[in-house]
Amino acid sequence: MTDMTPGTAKLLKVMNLSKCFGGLEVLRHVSIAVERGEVLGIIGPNGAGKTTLFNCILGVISADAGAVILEGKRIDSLPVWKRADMGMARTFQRLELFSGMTPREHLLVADRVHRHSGSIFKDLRGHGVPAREELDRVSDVLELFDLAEVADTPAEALSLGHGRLVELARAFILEPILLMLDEPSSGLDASETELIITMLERLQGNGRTATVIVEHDLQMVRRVASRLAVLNSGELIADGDVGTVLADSQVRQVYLGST
Amino acid sequence: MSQLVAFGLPGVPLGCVFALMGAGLVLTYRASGVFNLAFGAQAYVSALVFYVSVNHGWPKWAAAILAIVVLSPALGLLLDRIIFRYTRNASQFVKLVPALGLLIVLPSAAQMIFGDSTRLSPPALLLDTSKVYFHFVGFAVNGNELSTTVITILAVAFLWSMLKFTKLGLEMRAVVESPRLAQLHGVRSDLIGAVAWVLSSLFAGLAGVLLAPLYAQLSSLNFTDLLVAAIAAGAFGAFVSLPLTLIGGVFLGIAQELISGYLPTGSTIAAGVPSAFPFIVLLVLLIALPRFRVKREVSDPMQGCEPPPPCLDAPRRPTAVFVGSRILAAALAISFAVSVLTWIPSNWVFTLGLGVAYSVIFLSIVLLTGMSGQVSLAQATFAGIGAFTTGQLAIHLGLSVIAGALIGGLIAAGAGILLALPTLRLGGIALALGTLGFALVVSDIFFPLSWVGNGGSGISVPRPAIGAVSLASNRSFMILALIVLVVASVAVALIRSGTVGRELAAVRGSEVGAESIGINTRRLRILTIALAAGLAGIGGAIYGSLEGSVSSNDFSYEMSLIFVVVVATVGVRTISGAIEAGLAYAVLSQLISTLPSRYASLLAFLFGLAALTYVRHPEGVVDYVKRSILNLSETVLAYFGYHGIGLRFTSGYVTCDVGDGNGLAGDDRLEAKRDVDGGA
Repeated sequence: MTDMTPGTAKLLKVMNLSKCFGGLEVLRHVSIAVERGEVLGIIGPNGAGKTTLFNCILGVISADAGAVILEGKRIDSLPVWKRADMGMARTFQRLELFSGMTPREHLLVADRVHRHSGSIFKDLRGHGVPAREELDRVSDVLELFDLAEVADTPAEALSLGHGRLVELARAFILEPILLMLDEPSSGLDASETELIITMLERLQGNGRTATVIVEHDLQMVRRVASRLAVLNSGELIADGDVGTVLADSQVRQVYLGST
Repeated sequence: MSQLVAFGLPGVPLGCVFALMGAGLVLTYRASGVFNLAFGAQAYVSALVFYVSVNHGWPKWAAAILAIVVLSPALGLLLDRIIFRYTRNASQFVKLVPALGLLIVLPSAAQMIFGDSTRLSPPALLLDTSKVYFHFVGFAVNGNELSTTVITILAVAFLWSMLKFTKLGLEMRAVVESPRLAQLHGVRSDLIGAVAWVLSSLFAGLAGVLLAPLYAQLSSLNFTDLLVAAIAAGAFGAFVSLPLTLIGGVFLGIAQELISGYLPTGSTIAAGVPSAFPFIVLLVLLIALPRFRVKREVSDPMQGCEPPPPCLDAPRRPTAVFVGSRILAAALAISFAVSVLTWIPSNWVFTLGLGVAYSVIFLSIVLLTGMSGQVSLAQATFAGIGAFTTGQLAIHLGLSVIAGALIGGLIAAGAGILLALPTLRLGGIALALGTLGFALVVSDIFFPLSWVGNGGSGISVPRPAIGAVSLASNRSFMILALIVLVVASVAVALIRSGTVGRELAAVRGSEVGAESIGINTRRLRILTIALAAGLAGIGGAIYGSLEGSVSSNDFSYEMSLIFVVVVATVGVRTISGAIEAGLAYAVLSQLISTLPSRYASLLAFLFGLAALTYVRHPEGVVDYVKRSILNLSETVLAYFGYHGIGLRFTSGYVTCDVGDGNGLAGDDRLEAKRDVDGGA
């Protein structure tokens, strides 16, 4: 399946990851790798362990056993913010916007954090307010994500579609090497999903960022992913080209049922 | 061994007292979702009514019916109707503020109604207080001890089975989780919420009347102190389990008696440790029990139905109004400065100086609570650390007050970091309680020490001098105080508009989201707590130097509670709110101190009462008034034919997001927004 030899130029390697919740084994020796610039879709029925895998990679929960390696460095004991700092950005299935802040402010704070260009001492000397170049950079990203119109609307007043775009833009401005998307199309209608897909394709353009998508909507994954991994009951049952995986009889049986 | 029993056994009835109050707290928390810090105050009111009626010659049974069965539930119903029914969907802080307000309002209102005379030896409802009924392992059991022990066990058993087995108990728990979901399942949330308050108030009344005879004198302070020990008992059961609360309470009682039995007598530390013991236990429990580490409150899946609170007036004003109000504020500030330096009499300059000192302390609350969303009930303690450091350094090392104040601020910041490190993992109410425990430990154990605050007798703090220029007069000291206030305000404003302020806003908006973009929330929290503690320390030093001498009474935990209430009421989100709150607090206390002594608590009463409005006006009274004036002027102008001036305040956001946020489609939203904007 995947190349598990250490030392190769994989961006992310997950090795033998296991996680139990009480007596329930949610992940069983899952190993998976992500290459630079590729789009990996992770699918599987509800309760397959997709979200748990996602959370273990990002550090929201810690795995019982196994290793997570980003660019050759073990990261599985690092806190979430440190992993983000190393170039992992994410979006959430249930939006985690900064309530009370506008999309513009979302991007300003993310940009500042990413560039490590702020400190309390700078604030106290009056250098804390956004600089011209920061505002320009943020405006560009807002344009790119079609958010200019709602740039100064508080997050609470945004529609779900706009909310997802703001999260995507917030992740984008961090210039991630690994972008993790948790069910980006859930709760969206067809046209909004289309917009998200367009954005993802545009992001892929730079060829630097790898993307991992956990998604229910098979049509969507098919269009954006270059590789597909299938989880079932905590085990990885398939990993490969989209076409090959979808043709796999075991996958068809557990995931697609009779269809 | 026999000594162990002899020391420990008297702790059982004492522990039952903690447990009885603790059970009441847990009941209110589970049945209404409010961490009712005013439970002790409610108990005190009943005890007082009972005392007064018996003294008027009422038979005990009639007085008990009035105090426990009539008055307490009626009070509970009233509180639910006018305050807590609006808080059912609110965050823990929004629920905490009116509870703190009540903690202050109820005793002060009672004092104003019934007078402030000393009330000795409260009557016992059931058994004869001092009569020894029987001996248990050589320990004489008197009526008090017997009745509290038996009643506590019965009450805990009753409440436990009610919450666990009855339909009412189940419905109460459902309403606390999500009033709207419960309603969708056919539960009358509003009614159940009201019943929960009636029931827990009845219980508070019962506890008050029963516990009053334990003390030589009926005083609201005893009940508040008792409540804090009861919080520790409740923490054993994570504020959920009644049986564990009982066990925790008894354990605390026994341990406290053992400690006072074995500790050497005479030293100041030995005097402080037994009374501080429950808070040490509370801190340890909060830090050690994983239950309290839940950073996120249990979120109501239907919370999205609630419109967000109105945002602040200032950023949404039209440019003309914005510039106008800035000019007005500057003019006011300058004329204030000129006035205090010229024509205002010296004693009023002193009062206003206190106001400036309070303002600096209150700025720390704006920084911590208004900007970062954390609640500290220990800001007066940090102020005390600053004041005592300044005084001690001046007395023993002859250090200048200005240098002392800076060192005091640093030491307070250090204490803040010490407090922050273990309590960082706590969220919501647990963090507030952790700071309260810290405040009590410091003021019971450290402030009485002769090398710190020398207890109630206090230490002196001199006025500063810069080189040969003495700032001993009130007016010259005021210059220094104003400079400190301006520097502090500018610093807080810069932090708010800078990186740290944005990061704080992000963390307050979504902690998970903030971590995901790389914000080190832990570091940020420590930084804010340290900054706020340092600021409070400097404010405390100014206060001390102005007063000339300070004692631990100036920085008791009650002061911390009052501070939070005052700032939340006036405006916790803005810098001007802190300054307005500081000056108002100082001036009003001065005015009220000239009234007869029974009105001594009028100020606390007024602010406590105002805090009850916090639920509906979280932006603060001042912001609310400003907004009303703007709205009114727009209406008046419209009457004369000038439409759409743009003065009218609009919150600007309309959402009806449910669950995962299926909001209105774009066009509808614009339409709705236009409606709210009132065509402006």
